[in-house]
Amino acid sequence: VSSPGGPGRAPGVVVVGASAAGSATAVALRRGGYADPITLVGDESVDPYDRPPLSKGVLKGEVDLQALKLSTVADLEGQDIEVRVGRRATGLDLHAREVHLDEDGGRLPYSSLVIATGASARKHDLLTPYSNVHVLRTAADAVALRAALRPGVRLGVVGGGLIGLEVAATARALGVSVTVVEPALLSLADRLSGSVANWLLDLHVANGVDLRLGMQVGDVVSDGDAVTALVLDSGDVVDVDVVLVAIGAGASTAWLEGSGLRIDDGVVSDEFQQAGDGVYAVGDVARSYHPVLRRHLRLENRTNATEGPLHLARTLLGERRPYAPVPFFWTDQYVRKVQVFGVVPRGVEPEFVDGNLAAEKWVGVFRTDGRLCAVAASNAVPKAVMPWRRELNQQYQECLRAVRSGN
Amino acid sequence: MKIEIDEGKCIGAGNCVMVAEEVYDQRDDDAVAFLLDVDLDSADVQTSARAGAAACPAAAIRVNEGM
Repeated sequence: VSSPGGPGRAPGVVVVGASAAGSATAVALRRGGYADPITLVGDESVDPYDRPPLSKGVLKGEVDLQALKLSTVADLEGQDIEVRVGRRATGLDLHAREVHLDEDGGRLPYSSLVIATGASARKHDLLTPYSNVHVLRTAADAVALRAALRPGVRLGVVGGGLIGLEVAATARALGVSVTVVEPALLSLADRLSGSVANWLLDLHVANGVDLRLGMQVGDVVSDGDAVTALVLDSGDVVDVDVVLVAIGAGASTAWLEGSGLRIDDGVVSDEFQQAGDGVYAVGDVARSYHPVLRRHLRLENRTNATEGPLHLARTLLGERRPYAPVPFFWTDQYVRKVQVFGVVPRGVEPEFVDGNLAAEKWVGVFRTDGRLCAVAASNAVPKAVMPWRRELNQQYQECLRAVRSGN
Repeated sequence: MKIEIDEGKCIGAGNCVMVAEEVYDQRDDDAVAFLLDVDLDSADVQTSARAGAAACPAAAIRVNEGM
């Protein structure tokens, strides 16, 4: 048995990225009995925090940022995790098994490397330079946007995806005028199906949101460093005081360029979350192969930053089971809480098993070839959803067994 | 062991119930999770309680091991 820090002790696990997925991986490893050093490297100088409330309660002013803390550096250090915050990984040497760090050109050796650098808000070429243009990804972004959303202000939301529409709903509750510009004619149809997407967009119209679907921002009118109007490719002009760009998030992989790892909007990894020799990826940055869905995909939902770390920790402790989560996301839209379990198949419409889209509560299930693929629900009674979730989980397990036995 | 569920943080996903229905349940009206009347001194219950807390997507379940 080697003494801590003594000669011959393995360098242990290095986790790059100290947000939800990275810190959860470190904690799960230690709780699972991992005995060698664990080093957590993070470029943000704040404690790991939870992001979903940023577009919900935080923006409404109902949730304090302090309540979002997932853990503190002191908590992590108390679990024998070495935390290096304010340090940025700048490169990776797969052969030498070392992570390169900023400032002093330091090198951090690893036995296993966990990449958990997450994602960052995509920028809009035309809009980024202006002072009243926001994105929403970090706690600081939420604080800045919240300060700008005063009653009577005109907000232009560029991008009608989940975050854009969630902010639109929150902004309406704050007395803000909202216009959403979205290139797709039926925003979110790929995530929710056509009928549910229509239902959601109708909800926004009923709440006074000006939806400009099938349109893009082609130009801007500015007054010095502020945007005063968005000029759409249709020629329409939308006057704005504040703009939110919500066009998705791109994986943060710049530091891995040239490392030899396969990067494709994410760290391409296999069904064991492995990207290379001794290298794993977890959370928003990972584009892992999903053995049930039979494709590589980047799951950007919150549960993936919870389940992924637990699974990866077990793998690093010696288990070998594929990571095949049932994807899950939820969104708060006005008084509706919409939840989707599984992946809604393209072109498939739901069969309503409880209520319907005109009712206050509903549960819809999606099937292809008689197989359950997804369950969607709005404000549903838990007991109306649970049997379908169990069936869906069972479906994934059966599919996994079939894949593993070569059928 | 002591379990605290932050009702303000709970989003009603029901993941705790999915992995540990013997420990957690959800209210019918708003789907908020609650702890069932269980013996938290039992090792099996503790294992389930931890698994349920770890599955929460909203970090709403706090497990205090030291009691």
